[in-house]
Amino acid sequence: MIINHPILGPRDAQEFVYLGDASLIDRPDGLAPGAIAAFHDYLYQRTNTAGEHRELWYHEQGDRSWLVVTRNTLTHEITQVELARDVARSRGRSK
Amino acid sequence: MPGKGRAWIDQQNDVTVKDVKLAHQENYVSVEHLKRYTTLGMATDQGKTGNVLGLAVMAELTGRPIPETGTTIYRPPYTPVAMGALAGRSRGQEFKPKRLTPSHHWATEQGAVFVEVGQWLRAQWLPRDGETHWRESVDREVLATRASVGICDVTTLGKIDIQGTDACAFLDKAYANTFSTLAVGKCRYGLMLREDGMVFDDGTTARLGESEYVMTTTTANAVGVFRHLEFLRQCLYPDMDVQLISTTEAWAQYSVAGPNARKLLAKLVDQDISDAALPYMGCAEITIGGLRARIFRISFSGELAYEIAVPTRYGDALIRALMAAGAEYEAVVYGTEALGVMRVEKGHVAGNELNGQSSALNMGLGKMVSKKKDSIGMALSQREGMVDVNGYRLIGVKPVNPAEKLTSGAHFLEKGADAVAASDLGWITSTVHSPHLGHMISLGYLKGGDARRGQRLRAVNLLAKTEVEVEITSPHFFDPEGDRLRG
Amino acid sequence: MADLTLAPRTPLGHALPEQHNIGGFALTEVVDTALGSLTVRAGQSAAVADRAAAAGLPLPGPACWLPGAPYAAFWLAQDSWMIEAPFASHEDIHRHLRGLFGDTASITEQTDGWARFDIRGEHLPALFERLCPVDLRGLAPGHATRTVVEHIGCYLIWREPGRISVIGPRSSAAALWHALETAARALA
Repeated sequence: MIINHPILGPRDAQEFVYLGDASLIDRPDGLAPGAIAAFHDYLYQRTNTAGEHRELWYHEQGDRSWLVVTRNTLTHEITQVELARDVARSRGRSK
Repeated sequence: MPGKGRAWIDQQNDVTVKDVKLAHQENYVSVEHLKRYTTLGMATDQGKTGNVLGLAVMAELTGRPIPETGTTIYRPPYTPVAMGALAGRSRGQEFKPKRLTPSHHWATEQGAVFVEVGQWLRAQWLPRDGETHWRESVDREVLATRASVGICDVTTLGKIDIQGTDACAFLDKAYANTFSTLAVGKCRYGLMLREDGMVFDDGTTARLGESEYVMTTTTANAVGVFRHLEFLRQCLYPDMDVQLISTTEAWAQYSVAGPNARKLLAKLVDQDISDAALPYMGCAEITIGGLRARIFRISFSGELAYEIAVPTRYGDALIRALMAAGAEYEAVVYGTEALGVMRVEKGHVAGNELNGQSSALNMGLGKMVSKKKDSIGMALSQREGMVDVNGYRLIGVKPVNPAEKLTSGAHFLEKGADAVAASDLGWITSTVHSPHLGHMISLGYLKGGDARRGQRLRAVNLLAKTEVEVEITSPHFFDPEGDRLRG
Repeated sequence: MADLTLAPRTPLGHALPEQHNIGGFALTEVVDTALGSLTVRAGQSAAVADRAAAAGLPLPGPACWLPGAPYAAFWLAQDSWMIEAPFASHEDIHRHLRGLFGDTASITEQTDGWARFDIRGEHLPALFERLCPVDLRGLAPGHATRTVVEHIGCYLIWREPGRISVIGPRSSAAALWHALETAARALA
């Protein structure tokens, strides 16, 4: 499998480490009321998507960037690769 | 297919005649369906040992000859292949690369016995002339360190350089305990949780400057911790001003421990390292013979101890200089076994306790988890099941009869209780012979362990067929007040 | 206090660097270059670029190495580079870089973290296709990339036609050298 790194271009998937669902970017506030329930959902509840799935990959044998890869779980086609940092910012994680 | 009982066809995948009969009964009579229904021929032998038998059984059941019953698609290897052919040249010394510590050449000259830790080769113990059993070497290394001074190569611990104006806020997220209060020139033990509240890693982090820290990780987790910190930096806190880079390889680092540690180091270090100048948990950038170096006054052994680091190219020269300067104190180099003995004597957790299933509370470190800040794992560490007062707690174990041996993996049972899971109270995680106490000691996890100190239980190991009466103690066997390390 | 001189060792563990000619390849352990990492702090990109330009320090784009005197550099990650300079004049390169960049960048001494082996020869593409998944045939000198050689994470710097540096973790120096020798022997 080839991942089209947004900075470095096509790279072999063996250079990467897979983490899981990109929703891990949306970490709840640990000090907010109801944090335990929110963290339970954040950590353990996943949508088992048949189709486009956004997931986190780490370019460990490369530039150490975390990427959000949009992959079709039915065809394995990768339609989008973004820097996770940009995704995190767009999802309101700037301080 | 006459006869009673089961008749095995596929020895690798446990397929029996009964399974083939059931497949037939369920109308999975096509050979491809038979294969998928029963897993016949799906193991590594690809049916070479059992397929024909299974097909013959199906042929008999369907009243057809074997050729008509058919065969599944053949896959390679068609003929037996030696495992060596698959391994190619990736065998023996060529199987994986080795990582050598800066003292490797010196330790080899000393006849050290090495142990693989990941890819690292670390000295496990360093036998001297006349020592024929490993325990003789390890006991000597421990006693000499506690009596005078011992040196250990700790270069393999992961080192991560953390800089940036938000480095301190970043550490408050990564560690369960507080780092923003750490003064420049000080070190602190840090406890890192996973988001599920279990302990991920631990180590000492030193503040070298206003915006500059060096974190140490366990040897085994160095890569994983770095990846985790990059996840926090890029995915969770993308606008924190913090930069990370590994410096594990850039520094040769030695622990110098024992009552004479300071006297020995004072002979080499250009600066004042008296207790006033460098108190317990202090750190400093220093020079040795004019060369840049770092010193950290931290202790894993429980002794007055320092870790001293020089650029790796000088690591070989430093171990020789330390041994030369330490000759008047009969300094020893100790290996990972002696290190393990001393850490168990002090009740410090390591790999066997940091097993990925244990919380800070389990380890007796629950108070370190600050609830005043939102660190990774804090929220879920407070889950109902995680804060159970009768949950597992780290305890010490000693045999009631000092001559008896303890074994890791033994489970705790009340007197008279059956050796079954329902009676299980916990287990022994780490066991060493303490030359200081003259008998074996262990650490372990015991349900409601804090309240059971002083009790006598049985430690039962069904695999080793041993049963020992044990006394539950504090995990701190040696110098529990910590007077020695502050000396 | 001591009147003490510590003698350095090379990554391969000797007083002097190793040199080995195998067939058409010359393998050399290189210890004459200091390394320091430079990573831009938040909001300081322009300041870092200005200071680098003033010092003649190149900041190459992704997957690139740029030569220069005294400073050369290769790209590590977004806003992050490894800076090279002659060891003789720039031992403890982090001090030089701190002086140039102040608080605009995070600087880390990296000289001792790495072993560098230069390989000279005509048939480098044939050698490296045995060692790592980098196809030099589609690339040109000036290319710099992270890759894996025999399970060892390394940087590959293509300095000029017929010369490539492999920069790997110092603790694995012997294993990396062995891998390079083995591949060279296969082609000798």
